[in-house]
Amino acid sequence: MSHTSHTTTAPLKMGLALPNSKLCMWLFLGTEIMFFTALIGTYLVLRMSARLPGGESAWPSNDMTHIITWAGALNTFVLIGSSYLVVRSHERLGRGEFQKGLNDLCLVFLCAVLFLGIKGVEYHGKWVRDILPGRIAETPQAAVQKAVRQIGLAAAADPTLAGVHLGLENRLRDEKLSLEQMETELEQLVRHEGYGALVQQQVSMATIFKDRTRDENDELVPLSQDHHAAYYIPYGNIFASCYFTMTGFHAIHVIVGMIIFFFPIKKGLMKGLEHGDAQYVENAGLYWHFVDLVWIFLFPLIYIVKF
Amino acid sequence: MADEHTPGHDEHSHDAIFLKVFLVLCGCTVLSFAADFLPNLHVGDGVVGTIVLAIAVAKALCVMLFFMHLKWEQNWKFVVLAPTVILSVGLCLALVPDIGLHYYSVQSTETREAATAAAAASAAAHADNGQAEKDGR
Repeated sequence: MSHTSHTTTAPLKMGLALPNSKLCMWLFLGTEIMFFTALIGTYLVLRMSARLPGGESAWPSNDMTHIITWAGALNTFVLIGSSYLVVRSHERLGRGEFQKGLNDLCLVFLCAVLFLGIKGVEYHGKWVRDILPGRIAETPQAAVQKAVRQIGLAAAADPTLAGVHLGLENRLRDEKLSLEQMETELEQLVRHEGYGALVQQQVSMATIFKDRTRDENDELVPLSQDHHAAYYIPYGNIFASCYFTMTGFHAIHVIVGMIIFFFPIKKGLMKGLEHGDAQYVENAGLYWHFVDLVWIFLFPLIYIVKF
Repeated sequence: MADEHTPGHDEHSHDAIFLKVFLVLCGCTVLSFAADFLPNLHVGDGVVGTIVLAIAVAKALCVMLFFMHLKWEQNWKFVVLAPTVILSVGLCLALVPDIGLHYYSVQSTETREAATAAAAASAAAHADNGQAEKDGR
């Protein structure tokens, strides 16, 4: 009798009532919370510190830094949709609907590709305008310095420009070449039949001087109505550092998420998923929801908030 | 806790909850995007910032409570999450006195140039307004 009661008693369970893998994932997410909060918090503090003497914010506007709000909003929808698909996949695997669960995982993977694609379009826009850390002229003097340096690159390709470049360097050193003077010089250079296109190609890369071309009356006009082109951007470099650090690390997390989801998708396509895979998908989902969570805060803080 | 995730338990109600949460998150994102246009209606930047950050917190809570299952988890969640939250917030607060708040007026080159540019833009805007008023008369 006593023996029977002894065998039916549940064995003493040590530790928490959750799988070790899930506990590990939560502990890892704890470190991730600290990592991203440090990045976002540092961004906020640096942004707060960018003030005009009167106390107004001196942080560059979205127009100056090529921030596209609709692209950020679209990416938010993509990540939210993928988060929903992960939980639906987990539920379906739990119910034994393995094919439907696999389909959802494939859609999650596609959402991640779409997110990176949209992010790539945004990064490309900044790349062609040279809105990159350390590359942005923050004062008129720096803008002139950058233009002269870009003409130096053109001179490396066409030695006939070397004299012009040297002359500009000398003027920059001796006369404190102003932004207006530099623009006049540039217009003359662009009009030159021999190397005008080369100069335009080099300098238009830099956003220092707005892209120029000729209209039907042979007048110089802006090449495009590019609202993001700016001669110089105060606090532009610290903006670019913050932007690329935060969104770059987030994008790396998206890529890691794609790798995590690749394995169950591969298994599902080759051998088929089973009940035991539901736990893996739940843990992968926790990671993916965290990636979504970070973007939920990055979107308003980078794209919308002004303070 | 484990029982609530047992396959087959309350499955359809969970599906419905997740779909509702997804729709709420989409609605919140639309509101955030719409808030970006509020300055056109002369709503202050501080108000817009408060609105979009409140929406972000609401969205984060939805994701954590439902998608990450914290609503149904046991109290271990507090033990795991509390230290990380305290440390991460503390780190940011520690940076504020030195970098985020200026006791002395700012004298960096960027600040001076930004002030000059803002003054020039303001003067140009005033000149435009003055011209427009003259034309109006």
